[in-house]
Amino acid sequence: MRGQTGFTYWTQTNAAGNEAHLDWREGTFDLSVSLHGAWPEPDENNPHGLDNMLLMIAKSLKTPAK
Amino acid sequence: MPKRILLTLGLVPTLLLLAGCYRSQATQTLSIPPTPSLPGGTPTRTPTPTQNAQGFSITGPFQFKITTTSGQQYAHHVLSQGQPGQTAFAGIVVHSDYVRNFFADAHALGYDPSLHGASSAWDQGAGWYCLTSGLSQDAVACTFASALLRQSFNILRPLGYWNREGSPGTTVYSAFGVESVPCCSWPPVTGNFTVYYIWHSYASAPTPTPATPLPATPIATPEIPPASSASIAAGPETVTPPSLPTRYSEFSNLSGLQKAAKFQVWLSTYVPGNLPFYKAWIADYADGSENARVLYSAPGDPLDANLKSVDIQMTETNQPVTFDSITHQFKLIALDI
Repeated sequence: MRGQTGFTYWTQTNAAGNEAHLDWREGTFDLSVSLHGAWPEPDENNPHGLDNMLLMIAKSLKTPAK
Repeated sequence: MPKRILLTLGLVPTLLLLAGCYRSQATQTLSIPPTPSLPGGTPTRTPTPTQNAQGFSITGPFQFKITTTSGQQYAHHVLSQGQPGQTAFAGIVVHSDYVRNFFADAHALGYDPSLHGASSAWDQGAGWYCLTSGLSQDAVACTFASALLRQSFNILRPLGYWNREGSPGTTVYSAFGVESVPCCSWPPVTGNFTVYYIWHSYASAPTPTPATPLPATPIATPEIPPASSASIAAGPETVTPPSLPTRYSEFSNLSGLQKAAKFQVWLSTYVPGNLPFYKAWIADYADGSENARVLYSAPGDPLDANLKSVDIQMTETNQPVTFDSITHQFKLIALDI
């Protein structure tokens, strides 16, 4: 994932109520991204909007420059 | 696009099914008999703990009703119960047949220790709700309860105050309320409640508190479908229940978080809606693992369930990837399908 080594697994995205989660493992790190609140709900016109949003956040994670 | 992302997107049919649950007002199909009219404030059944292999257990149901009189806008009810020993307060399940419900802070009503803080009213309709501590180790608490109770839930926004440690082995307090509508005649209203508490054991051996089984509607551990991936060698689940944090710190800026963390916390350069940074936390555990959590949130009432927020958590752990850790998400109940 994100071009880094150490990828172990990526669990399913899930959405329930008014939150959506993406959990995965990289090396010795468990990571999770969650969206809470009134984000646009999936519909026929944008069925993967939340998934894409979670992926974009996940892909943008970076170690801050020292 | 990396293959693994494509692989994940290959799960889209499942995602679509789950995405259908995103609406917080999803139609409910109740499998538990509706709450009868009960004397206010008296739990009617002995709580029954049932524990699964992941260390989650549940106590309940506690059933009670809250009534306002004419001209009274709010009414509260405080539940007291014995917290099972060697457990943390991982989640709570609430059913109400009245639309304007909320969590109240038992501490503010004179009871200690309080398990959770107050919330704004849930105006999303009567029905079943579940929420967890918000910590990653409790993330599947509602999934566990959903399978156990055979009930789908609306998921509420995490509460601002959550006493995960609680007071194991002693009496703890939890409070609820109803709000009369419309303003400002405040007609009398009644809400019937059913509440379950979800606990997460940190004992080396599960030791649920003995209790009298329910004679009418006993809780049975459901058979959870096996993981769909046939390539994973199944074996006995050897998940070690997580322990309580040995250190828990809150930070109002990211530099403080980075200085305190044992590892460099990855930060997101993309936050949808340009949500501002809200707070960050670090939790350390006796097994050496550390959880860093960064929350971005829109301005507003942090207890508003519709408030947009992004919660990013990173946990460094020496725990091996186990069969359970890989497959637990596959056990997620597809709600309302």
